[in-house]
Amino acid sequence: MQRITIVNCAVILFGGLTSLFCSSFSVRANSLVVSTGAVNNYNGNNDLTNRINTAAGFRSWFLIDGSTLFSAWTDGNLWGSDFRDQGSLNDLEPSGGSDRAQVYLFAGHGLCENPPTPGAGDFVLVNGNFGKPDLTRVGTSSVWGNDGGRLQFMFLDASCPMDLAEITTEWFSPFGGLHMATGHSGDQNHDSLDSLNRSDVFGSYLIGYAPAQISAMPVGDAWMASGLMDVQSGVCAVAAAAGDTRDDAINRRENEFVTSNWPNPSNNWLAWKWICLN
Amino acid sequence: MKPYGKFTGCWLGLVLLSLGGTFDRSTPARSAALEPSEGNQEKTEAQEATMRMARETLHLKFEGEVKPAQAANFSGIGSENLKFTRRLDSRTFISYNRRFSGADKSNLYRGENEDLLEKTRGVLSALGIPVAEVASEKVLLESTQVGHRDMNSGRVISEEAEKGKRYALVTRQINGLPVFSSRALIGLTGEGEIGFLEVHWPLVPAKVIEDARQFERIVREGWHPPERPGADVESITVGIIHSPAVGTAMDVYPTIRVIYAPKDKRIGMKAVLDLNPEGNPVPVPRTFLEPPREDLKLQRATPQP
Repeated sequence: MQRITIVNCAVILFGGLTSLFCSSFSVRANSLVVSTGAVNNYNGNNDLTNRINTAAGFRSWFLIDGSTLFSAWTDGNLWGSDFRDQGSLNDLEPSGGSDRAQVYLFAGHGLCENPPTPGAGDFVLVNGNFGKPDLTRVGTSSVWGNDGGRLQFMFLDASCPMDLAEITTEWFSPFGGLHMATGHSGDQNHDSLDSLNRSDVFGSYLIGYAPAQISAMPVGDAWMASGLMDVQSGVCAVAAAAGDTRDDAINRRENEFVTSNWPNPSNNWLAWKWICLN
Repeated sequence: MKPYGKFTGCWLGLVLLSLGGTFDRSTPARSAALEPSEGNQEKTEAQEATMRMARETLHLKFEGEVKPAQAANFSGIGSENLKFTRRLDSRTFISYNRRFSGADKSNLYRGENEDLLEKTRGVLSALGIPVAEVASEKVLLESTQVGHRDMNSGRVISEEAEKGKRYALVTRQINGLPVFSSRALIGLTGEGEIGFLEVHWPLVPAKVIEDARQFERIVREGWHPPERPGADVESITVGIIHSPAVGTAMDVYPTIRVIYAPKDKRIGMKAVLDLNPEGNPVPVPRTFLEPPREDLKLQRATPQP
């Protein structure tokens, strides 16, 4: 990835002495476009407290690395339609549709079954002041990376949005060009907690920080290393990748970075992995 | 003209010039907290200590060109495929070997779970992590699977799940007080070398522990958490929270952690409140001393019909 070097110099005039001190840092050329959507306020229906902060922490790493922020809507400004492919208001809505950015983190509620079964659905739940309904079933309503959408990575920090029992029934269709998605698998009694830092740490492992020799990791491994923070026993962190072929899907699951700049895959094949807190 | 070194007379101030380089016009201001620091004797000593820790304590094997780096509160060392960094303000160590990732199953750790735990104990001991503070140890197993859609029938055909990487996860307590934000997570390569390491085990000030003990007494005496609409109290636990591993701030606070279960069981994610005995939120441990500047919009315009 090409990097551009920014040089900052200070000319210090002191007494009769002129000194020049310079430092430099680099940012990536062709930086990523990132969005987040976070909801704390569910109108008293199990409100959360840390979703907006954790989304801000996630964004910070991308911004430090030189990425561009597309949208960072919270609470009522985040709409259900932002996650749906169809409809007059949809995921290409110019002010915040999820398919506008290359990387999108959703932090909020999902829906949990007890237990999850194939066909029960994986969901994203918001509390929007527009773009109703608030509930989106991913498998039937969400398609990312299609029809001009540019989303490559969809990260769902919510409850049960990627149940293992439903990967094959819910998660082929949303990959319309999307590269990878991450989430949790759980049920009503084994759930993710409203974590202060889970997405923040995930962001730091996705991007890394080269000047301190903190390495970026492939998306799947970054989530495996952070997704089990602040979850209850029985919850699994799940990462899925689409591919043109079997080998392509596996390669993306194991080796694709958010900065890899690989072409969009088809959804012929899906390769996923998970790690559970026992 | 006053002599050089005296702050009088001919001090003309500081002029900042930006020379060269272009970047995307929408790139936001860079966080001042993560700027590379200037060279000095302390920096050299810190880098030498980092090098010794990487090579002699953790036995990391760097190949090719090895570069030290120091930025803000981090001191690191790395080659193309292997990086190690430690915080200078916290007992925090992070390492990642690119060979730990990948689809090659022959690179998976081959030892028994107990061997992985034994090696993990050795690493923690070498890094100065007190055994007495270990709360739990467990091995986490990654699983992998592949499926495809049959183009004719539309049916999804899945292969059998396979075993993937293993990680040792160690959690922390201090005399029975859980330290919620600390952990050690270690994965080894097929050769038994460190593939991934995050040990985040900052020192906890005595005052924080003392306050947490006070919180415990108050909870035992019948403290009640605030009610929360749409949710019931599931658990109340006194412990300690602190800033995350990668960042420039290290805040540490005692807390009464209350987990709420939703009354509507379908609505997932359990609310977590970290409170003081007055029922007010404890400060949120920061990640950055100076977060990146953002120019966020507060209100989203609804589309015109």
